[in-house]
Amino acid sequence: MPTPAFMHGNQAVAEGAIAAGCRFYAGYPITPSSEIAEILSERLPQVGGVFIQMEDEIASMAAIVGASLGGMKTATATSGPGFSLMQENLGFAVISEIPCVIINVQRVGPSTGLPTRAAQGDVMQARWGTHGDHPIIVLSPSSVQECFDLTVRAFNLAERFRTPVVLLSDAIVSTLREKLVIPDAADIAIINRTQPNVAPDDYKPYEFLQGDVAPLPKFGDGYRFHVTGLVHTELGYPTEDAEIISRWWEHMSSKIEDNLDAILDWEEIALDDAEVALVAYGGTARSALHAVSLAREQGIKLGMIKIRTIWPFPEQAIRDLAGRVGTIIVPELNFGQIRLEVERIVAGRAAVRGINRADGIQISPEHILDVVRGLERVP
Amino acid sequence: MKVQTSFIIKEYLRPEMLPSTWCGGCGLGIIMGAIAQAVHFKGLDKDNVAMVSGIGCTGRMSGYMDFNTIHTTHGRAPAFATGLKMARPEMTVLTVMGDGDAMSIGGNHLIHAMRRNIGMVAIVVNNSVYGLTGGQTSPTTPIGGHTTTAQSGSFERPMNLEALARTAGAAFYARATVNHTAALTKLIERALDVSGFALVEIISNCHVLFGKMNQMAEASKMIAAMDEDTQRTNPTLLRRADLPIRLTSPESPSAPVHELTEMEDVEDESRTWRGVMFERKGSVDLSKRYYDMLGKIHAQQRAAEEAN
Repeated sequence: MPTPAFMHGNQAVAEGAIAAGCRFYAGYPITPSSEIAEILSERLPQVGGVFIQMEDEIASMAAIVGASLGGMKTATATSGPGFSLMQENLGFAVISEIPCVIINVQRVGPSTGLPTRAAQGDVMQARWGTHGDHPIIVLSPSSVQECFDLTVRAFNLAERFRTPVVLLSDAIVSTLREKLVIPDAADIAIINRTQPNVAPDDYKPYEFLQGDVAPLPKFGDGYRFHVTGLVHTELGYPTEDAEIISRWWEHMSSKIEDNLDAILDWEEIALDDAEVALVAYGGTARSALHAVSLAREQGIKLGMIKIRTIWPFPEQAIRDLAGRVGTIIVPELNFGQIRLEVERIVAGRAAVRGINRADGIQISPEHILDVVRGLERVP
Repeated sequence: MKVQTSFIIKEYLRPEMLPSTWCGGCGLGIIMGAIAQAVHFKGLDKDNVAMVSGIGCTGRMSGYMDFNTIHTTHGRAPAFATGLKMARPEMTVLTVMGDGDAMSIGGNHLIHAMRRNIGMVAIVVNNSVYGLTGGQTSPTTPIGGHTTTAQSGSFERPMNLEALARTAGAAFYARATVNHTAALTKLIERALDVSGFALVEIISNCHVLFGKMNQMAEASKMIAAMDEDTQRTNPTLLRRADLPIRLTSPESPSAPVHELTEMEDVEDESRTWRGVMFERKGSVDLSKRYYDMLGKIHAQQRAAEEAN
């Protein structure tokens, strides 16, 4: 039987991790993510897993990559300042294609910022925070149910595509309590990294597959491969050969780009007859959703797209939207990080405007509705 | 006892990765050979050995050795190794770092790996200089040592890693040089026997950079000097890790630890000790303690289920 439960978002993330098969957590305390560590410090030993509090977030990120090579599904959780420290080894996980999940419960930045206040200012950092071009997957939950569901999904995508996956939570969804339904374990789809079916001598840990990844055995299984942060050959050995490097880039890029159907995730709400659409994600999507119902009560034709996979960005969905509505409004708790992406894709085919604040106060449904009404007065 | 070099290359190195990037005469080759011999003499299964390295000349070693290997980011090797060891406690983990890697950028990770007493053999190759980046001052550059970032001689006090390891809680500390190769292998073997964090500091040579800037441009001369500059510890005088230590004294705030504690029998204070510096008795690896705890939790869970 699916179990109804009442939880806050951080708790749902922790339970989602356990349900997904996470058996290793390394972290460093930071508001507003600490409950995830606290809960997992109790839950992981119950299921035979490892919890370790590291000396900082650099080490936390390192430890989850090391443990993932040991064959475990691994995660860490943090907030802005810690996420900044994790960028170095997040890049290592990207280039060495080691599955792991990083939960960033966003607060207002930069630096120490507003430690207990919600923000969505790390959207671009989640995309480009570590140096160099790189593929990445970033999900953002807007409810406690999605905290659970998207955490499970984050682990599945990490295992499927041998990549770090960032769960971009925020201080709104992490601290609010609401009902969710936890499915039976048997009904939760779980993906595990594939195992090699060739002899060690024939195994290529970094085979440059188009749109796919090589199997990943755990250390100790007899494959004795090399893992490095240097650009490498299919065997994992460093190379400076431009021809090999271009094939490597093609593999790295295609494993995400060729699988957008499996990765992208968005929801269309009340768009059928909409003249104006909101594009929202994370905690702000809650206000947007409420604004849509308020607008509909008043006969205003407002719809929305709720984005759950932020990176890669659902470009086609936004492109299609531009042909359906006259105006797209992007409310977000930053100064337009996703709005710039929407503007780029819409390319003038619809008006795009943002509703932005980063003062620790969330955007209210009334605020969004006021902006929509203001649009109607414009000829 | 020494095995043939050809056997070491065949059994423990990755031919496709050779030749190495190291300069001719570099001590790193001697160290890599000693590690392979120690692993061989201990009869360890290569499939069950991991080598985790950082960045720098020393960091390249993991690529050359035929174990389960990770060439991590600068200074972070102990943190990667901690995650691996906690996930696979049965695995022998060798964490290989240079002096800048271990003591400067990775200092915090090293301290906490020692504090946790996580089971690994940490090899710290100390050549007093940043080699791969071209000869800059490192945390162990001696006062007066010339480097590309201390052209008139370094004036910072070098790190006393032994005192740090003792204070932080490492289980074992030995110092070796690339001149005394039999002892080097033996000390790595001793470290492999330790349950907990075992550190082997290896004094090595960078004649190409540090040597050239300090009138020791020949590898042979630099390595030979290690014999004059070091002396062997008398095993009967092995300093116990549980003795209280004073890190500083009012008279001499910068004096090395051994001058202030129980080393009255020092023959020549200008010489560095090699051999086992300390070993903590009864040390138990963190990963073993963790999995023992898991076993107890599961026993309690089973007892509670049966009671119901």
